[in-house]
Amino acid sequence: MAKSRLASLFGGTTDGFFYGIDTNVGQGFHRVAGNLWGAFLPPTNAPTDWKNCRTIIAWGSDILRSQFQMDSEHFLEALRNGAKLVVVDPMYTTTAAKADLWLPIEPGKDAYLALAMMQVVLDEGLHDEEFLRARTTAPALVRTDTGELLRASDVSAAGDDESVVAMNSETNDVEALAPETDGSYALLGEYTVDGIETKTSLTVLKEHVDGYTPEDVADVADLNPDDVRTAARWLATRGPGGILPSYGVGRYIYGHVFGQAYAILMALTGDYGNSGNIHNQHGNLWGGNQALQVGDYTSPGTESESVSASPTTGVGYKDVISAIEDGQFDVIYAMESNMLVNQFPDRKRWIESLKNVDLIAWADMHHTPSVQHADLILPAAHWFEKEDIVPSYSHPHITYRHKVHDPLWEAKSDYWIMDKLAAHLGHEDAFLGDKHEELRMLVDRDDRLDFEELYEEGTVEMDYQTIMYQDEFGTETGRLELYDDAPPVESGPGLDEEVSLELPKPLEARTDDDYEKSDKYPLVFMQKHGVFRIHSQYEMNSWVREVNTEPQLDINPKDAKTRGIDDGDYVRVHNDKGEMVVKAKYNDGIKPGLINTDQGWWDRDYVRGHHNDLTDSEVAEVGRTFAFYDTRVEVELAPDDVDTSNYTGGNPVGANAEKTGGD
Amino acid sequence: MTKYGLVIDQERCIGCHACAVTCKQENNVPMGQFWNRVLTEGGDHIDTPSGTFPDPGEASTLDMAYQPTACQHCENAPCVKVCPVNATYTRDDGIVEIDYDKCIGCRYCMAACPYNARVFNWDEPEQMPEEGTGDVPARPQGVVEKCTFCSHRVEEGLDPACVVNCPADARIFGDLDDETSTVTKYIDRYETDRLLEDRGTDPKTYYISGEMSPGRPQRSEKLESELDERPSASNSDDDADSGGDEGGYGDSGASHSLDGDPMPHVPAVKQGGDD
Repeated sequence: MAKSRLASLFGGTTDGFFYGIDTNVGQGFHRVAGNLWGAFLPPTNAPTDWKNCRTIIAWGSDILRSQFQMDSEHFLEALRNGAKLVVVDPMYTTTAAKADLWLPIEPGKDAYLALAMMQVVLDEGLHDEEFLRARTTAPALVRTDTGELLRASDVSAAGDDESVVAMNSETNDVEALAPETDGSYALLGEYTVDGIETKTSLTVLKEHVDGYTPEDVADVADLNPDDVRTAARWLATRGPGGILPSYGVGRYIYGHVFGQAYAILMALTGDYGNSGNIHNQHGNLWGGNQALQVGDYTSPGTESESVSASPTTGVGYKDVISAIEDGQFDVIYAMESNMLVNQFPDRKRWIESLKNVDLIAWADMHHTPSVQHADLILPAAHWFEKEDIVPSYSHPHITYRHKVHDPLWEAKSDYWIMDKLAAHLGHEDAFLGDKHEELRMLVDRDDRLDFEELYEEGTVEMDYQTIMYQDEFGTETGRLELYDDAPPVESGPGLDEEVSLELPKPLEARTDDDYEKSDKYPLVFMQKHGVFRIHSQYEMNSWVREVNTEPQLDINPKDAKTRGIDDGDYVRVHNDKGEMVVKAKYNDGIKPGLINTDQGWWDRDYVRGHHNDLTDSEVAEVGRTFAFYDTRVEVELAPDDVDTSNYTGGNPVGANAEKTGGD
Repeated sequence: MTKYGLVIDQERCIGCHACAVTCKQENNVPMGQFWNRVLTEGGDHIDTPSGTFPDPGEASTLDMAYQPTACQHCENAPCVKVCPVNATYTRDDGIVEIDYDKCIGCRYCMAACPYNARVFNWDEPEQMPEEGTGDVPARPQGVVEKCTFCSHRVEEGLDPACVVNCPADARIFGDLDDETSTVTKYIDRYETDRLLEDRGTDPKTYYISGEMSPGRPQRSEKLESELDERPSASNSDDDADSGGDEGGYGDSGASHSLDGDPMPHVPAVKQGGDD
């Protein structure tokens, strides 16, 4: 908050999560369900409700490895209560090992599978008719001539331009659809209204998905058609259920199509607004109530006469790199981030771009790879060395964190640095200069909280909503929109022509078998989020490094042997962009044609190169999100002269602190 | 009598290694050593399955599970029998422990232990951070060390660190001689195995597989150390009826135990602890 407040004082630019990383699947979902909070995955029922879920489809999510901290108990409780667990993943993960049904899908084919499941639901008549009539645009009529939705104004002079209309099969007349009007609307069929030929949106969808039978899709996605049917039937017939994706599918460039597809699939099965529904893999924002509500603190505006504020410009990550390359920034002030030089795709391009910046100042408590590119390094205090108020996305509590230790050496809290910076910039009054008092002032702005109580109790549970999607949707119609008559168009990498997305259509870039370089670079390269990191954090934790010793390459023994690679050999992974040298780890649980190195390693951990020297920063029109997994590579034995002594030499007692460089 | 034992539900275990790492922290375990390890039952490496990846459309034969392994605290402990100086001994409460002052570093116990549960300080132990960590004094070079069921915590009325810090609630600690304890009830109710039972070691560590248990029943808005009174078996049964689903986050786990047990069954010797 202090960062945003400071930036607003002089019209600075701040980076914004909005579009950049992990915002892909959510964008597609939002197209169907409308205007949800934030850019990430959609809201989901509180994890305390998950035990009522009858079918969970964990889709590209290894929730028990990457998101386990608060939610594994709720996930396990659902399984113990008899939920069927389906896992869709090209890797046999910890979560897959607990599944009733594992669908080992070919990378990048997720939209195909979602379409096939819709085909099964509609073909077998398993769709939730009542829900589709009341809360979706399934009955909304689509003009056959233009492909546009029939509007109220098309059929009645008194009708408005916005409302979509449906055929009431009792009155044989069309009616405008309000968010939850309850009528005997025809879900399927063709109707001529005032001489205009139309069909229902659900009919258009059904005709579309008829091209994606389980047999068709099984062939493309390397699945068993019976398994596809089983997954669809479980979701549709076993009671409330849900699809629980992570950010994994969104790390393919057109992952947003999957978001659109699964939102529609769950509309068909009526899985919104009930106890037992799940829409994403983490507890989400618990209704958004656990954030501190501080009004205009971060953009002071007119609040204080002594503070003359300019609006802050937020730049999404996808645009930051070109802004740096264009020389738009004279100064970058960075804090608590290792993104620029370690976590962003196309790493070398970012490093090169930083030459266009006159001054880079970096505040961090660790000497990260990014910090090493700074002109000024400001040692920041650890979070145990300062008091603060901490909201969370994984539980519904606001926490007051007390300082347990004075900052070591010359380290200062980020607040202290912000306050001094503001003063030097002529804004002496921007901050109170006393963190404790600043926190008290912030809490006083939030009507729900009492500072003394929060300070004493340490943790306060906020109200939260257990069941989501009970009210009208944030779309124009207030309904889940199955068919989009003003769709976005994709024309990015891998596409021969422009594709408009009225309905979800499987789109692929580099995972496509027909991708131009698939012969030269036959392997798809994933960088899973594992259990030993939060992003790149804890790389320097010596205890963890005793278990998680070095970056490794999960490779199916079949792929390894055809390349003459033995288990434990050091290998060179390369493509046109760059390379990395890591140790091969035979893993029969990874699909042939796919390889993986867990993300979060720093450059110093690699024998050579870096995983983000292989990835690309291109984004799609809709998702606007970095596509880390949409990467092709080849693997070969590392050259004989690579120096692996960091791992093979010396006394292998634990993670030697010298070697891993930590403190 | 009290006879402490541990139940590990492998259906719940997610292989996160939190138990292994928290053990190091709590017990001041030197670098390069683990008292508690999470083994993968499956392939040759951690997190890899047995079997081969299914061909397209074929059924999967892959299989993987996790087996956290530490000292099994055997009733008939071979390490106790072979120790020439009685440094390794079984306490009255069943915990197998080492008197480090007596240990002469002969490592007979390591040879005798079929579970590879013990480690030896060949070199001067190296702590990270240097001044050590946790609530247990460091052991010197030249002695064998191993899991104590966190006896220093148990004596304070607290569960072992690995039990408290398991995010999957897969570890349950308690008195095997108390028929009302959760460990006893789980062993009665669920399919359990002990490691290498044919060796006659009579381990006090039980592994659940097959049907998943409700896991560790510790559900409270308070930390263990803050609990004023520990319920007797009779009033914990009463709690089963009041365990509802009213929606409070802290209460939400009431359905998450076999009989609504509100807390673990370590008898309080005294209050305290740093949990």
